[in-house]
Amino acid sequence: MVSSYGVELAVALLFALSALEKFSHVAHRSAAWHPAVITSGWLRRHGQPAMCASAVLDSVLAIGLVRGTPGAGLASALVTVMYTPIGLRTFTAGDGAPCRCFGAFASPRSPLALVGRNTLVVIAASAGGVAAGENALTPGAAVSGALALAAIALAARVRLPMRTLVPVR
Amino acid sequence: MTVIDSVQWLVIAGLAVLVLGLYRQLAIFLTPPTRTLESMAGPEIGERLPSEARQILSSKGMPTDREVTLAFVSESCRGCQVMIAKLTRLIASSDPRVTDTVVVALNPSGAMLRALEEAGIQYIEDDGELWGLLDVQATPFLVDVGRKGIVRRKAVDHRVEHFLDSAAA
Repeated sequence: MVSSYGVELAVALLFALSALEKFSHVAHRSAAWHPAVITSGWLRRHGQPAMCASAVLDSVLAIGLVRGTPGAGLASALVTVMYTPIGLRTFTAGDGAPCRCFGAFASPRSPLALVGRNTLVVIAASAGGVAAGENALTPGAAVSGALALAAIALAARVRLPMRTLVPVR
Repeated sequence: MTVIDSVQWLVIAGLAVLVLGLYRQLAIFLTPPTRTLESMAGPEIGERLPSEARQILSSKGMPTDREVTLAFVSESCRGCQVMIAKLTRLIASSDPRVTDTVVVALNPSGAMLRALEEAGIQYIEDDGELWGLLDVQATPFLVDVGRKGIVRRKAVDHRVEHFLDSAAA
């Protein structure tokens, strides 16, 4: 049986990996050279505080999802939607160097893969937010989470030319 | 094959993808065997850079009769981002050790070039020819080249300040 909590745990793992990656850049003071930051002059100038804020936000969402806090799923979905244009910009303004924002295993191969992956994350996060269920790590939750992660990882593997979705500058 | 069997195979496939993905994610956080990489890749220590490589460096305005540290980077490499951030800080503090450090960027994007210029980093754009000639297999790859193009040291390391200290010693 599909468990909405298991799916939320999968999204929590993605946000935890995202936070880890960002905190690592903050610790090394290398935020300005991150693929998602280097493409924007404003972000590059404020790379450290922006990345730190984003890492804190991701951490809060990951914890909220694990704890089953009401609204954490929908907030995660909203944040993912907000991150999507930044991810797309990484592809269009850069050389397609992927942002490993949700972990290397879900690193998108093309803009279409990024949109597909993020759409699945939004659906997964929203599903947990809408469906009321038991917040327990049952076998069903583990399998649901694993399947959700596998689907997200596979969506990120789609290789289509950049021009398919957005023009290359 | 029943529906249950199909679902079980689907779950097994999903878990397999997940395990492989997490394995890859873990590998990124583990320290790579840099000594092995250094011994296998790059130009031989004590030998001159290949004449074709010296010609390319010369054609890009880099005099080959002086000591120089070449830092091979690619845009999506996390260690390279950390290394360039450190290089930027050394330049900002007018550290004399970085005067003869040149970044060799593999197919850099416009955003990357702008960022390098703004940071005041000396760089060379490379389409892969120089990388191929010098057998660069891992990044960030640092090569200390002495006068007459003799390779003195090499390392796969993001700690550029340590490398420059050792080179000066």
